[in-house]
Amino acid sequence: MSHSILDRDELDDRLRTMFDVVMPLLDDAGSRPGVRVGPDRRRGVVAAAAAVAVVGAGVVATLALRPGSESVSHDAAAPSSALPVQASATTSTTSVSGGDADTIPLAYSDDDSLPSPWDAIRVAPGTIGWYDINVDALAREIQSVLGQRDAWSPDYISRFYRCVAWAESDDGAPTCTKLATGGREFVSYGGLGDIELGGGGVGIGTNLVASDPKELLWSLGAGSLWGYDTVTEPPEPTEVAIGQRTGYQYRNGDAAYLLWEQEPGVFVWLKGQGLDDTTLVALAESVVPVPVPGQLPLQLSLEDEAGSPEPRDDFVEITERLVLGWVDGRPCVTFGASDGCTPVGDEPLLIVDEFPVGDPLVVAAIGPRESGLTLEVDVFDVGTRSDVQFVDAFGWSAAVYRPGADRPLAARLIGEGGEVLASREFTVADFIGAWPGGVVAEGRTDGRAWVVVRQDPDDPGGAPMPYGDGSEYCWLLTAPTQHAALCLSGPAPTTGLGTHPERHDDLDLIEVAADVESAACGDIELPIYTDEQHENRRFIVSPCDYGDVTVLTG
Amino acid sequence: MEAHRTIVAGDPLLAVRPGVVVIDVEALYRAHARRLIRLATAITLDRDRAEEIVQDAFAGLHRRRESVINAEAYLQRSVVNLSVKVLRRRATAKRHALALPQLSSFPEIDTTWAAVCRLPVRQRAVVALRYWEDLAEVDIAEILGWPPGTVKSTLHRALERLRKELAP
Repeated sequence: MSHSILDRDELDDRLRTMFDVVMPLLDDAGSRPGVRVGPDRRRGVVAAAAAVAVVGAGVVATLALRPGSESVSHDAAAPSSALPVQASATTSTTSVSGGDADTIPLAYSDDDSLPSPWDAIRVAPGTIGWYDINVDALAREIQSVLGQRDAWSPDYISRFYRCVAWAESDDGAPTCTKLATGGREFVSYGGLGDIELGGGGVGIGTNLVASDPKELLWSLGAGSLWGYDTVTEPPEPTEVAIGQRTGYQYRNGDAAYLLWEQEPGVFVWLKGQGLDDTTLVALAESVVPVPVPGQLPLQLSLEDEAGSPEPRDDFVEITERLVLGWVDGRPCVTFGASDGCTPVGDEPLLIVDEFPVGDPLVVAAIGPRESGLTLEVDVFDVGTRSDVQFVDAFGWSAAVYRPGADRPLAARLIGEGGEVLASREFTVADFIGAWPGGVVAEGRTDGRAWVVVRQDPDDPGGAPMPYGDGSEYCWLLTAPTQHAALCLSGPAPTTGLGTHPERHDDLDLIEVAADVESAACGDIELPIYTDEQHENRRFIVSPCDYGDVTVLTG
Repeated sequence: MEAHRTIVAGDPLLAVRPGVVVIDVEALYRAHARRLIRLATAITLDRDRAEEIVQDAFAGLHRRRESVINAEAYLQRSVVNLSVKVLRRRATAKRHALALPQLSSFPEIDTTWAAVCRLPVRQRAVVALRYWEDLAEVDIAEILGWPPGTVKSTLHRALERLRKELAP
C-alpha cells in the first residue's frame, strides 16, 4: 500500500466533512467578523448525511444538512417584498396512475424540535450499538470534551446510527435488525483523572460492519499515528489481552490505538494520547454497551452494490433519488427533496423525477410485488427500452429507468395483460427546465433531432450560457443528449463562420455571416437558419467540429 | 389559462405539455434560501454578496414563475451563474479564506476550508458542487454549461492542488 500525499478517497472524505461543518457556519460569516456561531445540527429530511468529523487528533461530532435535503427554514429572512406569495405549490415529482395520485404533504422543518416528516424506523430489541467507557467502573474522574451536551442521549446518538439490515413487520413497515455507526468516531474525553490529555484525549468508537480487526486498526490508525507518507505498509500490531479477549494495538510514542472484537462482528477501539498500555487496557476492559434507541428518526439505508452502507434518511433509497418511505404509517415514494410523497397502494404508479435540469430524467414504476408490471421507455434513436432496474423493497416492486446519456422521450407503464396503465411524454422543456421564449428552428442533423430556442439573456437561471456575460441575445440548442447556448454579444460576423459555443456533445451551433451561401460537414450539406426576430442573424447546426465545417461565401 | 407557449408539434421533443404549475416562491424561499446562500458564500466568499445573489435568483424565478418548470434546479443554476459572474466582474477576487473563528479548534477542517478558499473561483465552484451539493461531474457540466471534459479537468486540477496543499 502506498500513499503519496492524500489519496483520493481520503481527500473526498475530508472535503465532504469540511463542507458539512463549514457550510452551516457560513450563515453568519464574513460580514460580522467575530460573531461566533454554534454548530447547526439540523435534522435532514431527505438524504441527510450525518457526518462524524475526525479533526486532527481530536474529535468533533456534527450533523449537517446536505443539499437536496434542505428543510423549510422557519427563521430564514423573509423573502423580499418583490416576491409575492403564490397560492399553490410546486412539486418536483409527478405521478400518473389510474388511481389516486395525491401526495402526502411532507412538513419539512430545519427546527430540531419538530419531528421528521418521515415515520421513525423501529429498532429490534437486542440490536447492538455503541460501546462507551464505563466511567463508574473506573472510579476515576473523566471529562467529556463535548461539554454540556449529553453525548449519549438516545435522541442524539440515534442520528449517528444507520440501519443496514431489517425485517419486515406485520404491517409492512421495516424494523431494523442491524445497525452501523454513522461515523468513525463519536466521542472523546479530554481528561482522565490527573492526566492531562492535551488535544487528543481518549477516543472511542464502535464498528459494526468491519470483518478484519487488523485491517480496521490499520485504516483507523495509520494516518494519525504515522502519516501515510511515513508508513506505507501495515505494521504487525501488538497483541494485547483485554479480559478474555485478544486486542490489537499500534503505538507510536505517546499515541496509541487499541482495537478488539467485543462481540462477534462488533469491534470497539480506543485511541489515546499520553496513556500507557495499562491504562488503555483498563479503559478497554471497562466498556459497556450504550442503550440503543427504540427507533431511529434518521438513517435507514439500503446497502449499495458494493455492500457499503451509506447514511440516509429514514426511508429506503431505491436509486440515487427515488426513495420509499413511510408517512403516517403509509408507504409512499418520492424523488429527492419534494414537497410530497406519493402513496403506494394497490394501484401501480408511474412516477417521474420532473425536470431535474442537469440530471437525467428518471422514470420509475412502482407496484405491488409480483404485480407483473413493465416499464417501457422510448429513447431517441434507440427505440423502446425496458432494461430497467427492478428492486424489491418491503412488498413493492420498483422498476426504475435511469438513463445515462439517453434521455427518455416517453414512458409507459404496462400492466400484466399488456394494457397501458399510465404514460408520459417528455418535451423540450423537460430538457432545459423551462418553457423557452420561442422556437427559432427545429430539425434533424445527421439523424439527430434538435431544437433551437430563444433565451432571455438576463435570465440567471436559464439554461447554461457560458458566453452569456453581457450578451444581448441567446440561442439554445437542445437535443435529447445535450444543450448548448450561443449568446450573441457583438455584431454578426462579416464573413464566414462566426462564434459558437463550446462543443458539448454531438452537435455544434455556429453563427454564420450574411455572405455564407452554403455550409457543409464533409458530404453533409448543412441548412442555414435565419432568426427573423433578431436582425436576421443566421446559424447552422453542425455535427462536425467548428474547424471541419466548410462554407461557400458569395 | 394557457400560460405556456405552444411549440410546434410533430417531433417528440416538441410535444406540448398541458397544464400550468404556479410556483410558490415564498415556500421555496423558506425551503432553499439558506442552502443557496451557503452555496453562494462558498463560491464568492462574500456573505453579503451571496444574499444579494440569492435574492436576484428568487427575483428571476418570480418573474418566470409560470414558465420555470423545475424551480429548485432553476435556483441552483441561477446562484452558480450569478456567483461566477459576480467574481468575473470583480477586479480581484477574494483568495483568502472567509474567516470562521469558530473553526479554530478544528485545525484539519480549518486548513481544508482555507485551501478551498484559495482555489480559483471556477475550481471552487466545481468543488462545492461536487462535495457539498453532491453532484456528479456530468450534472455539474449541465449546471455550469461546460463540456463534461472541462468539469473533469477543472475538478482534477482543483483536487491535485488540494492534495498538495493538504499533504500531512
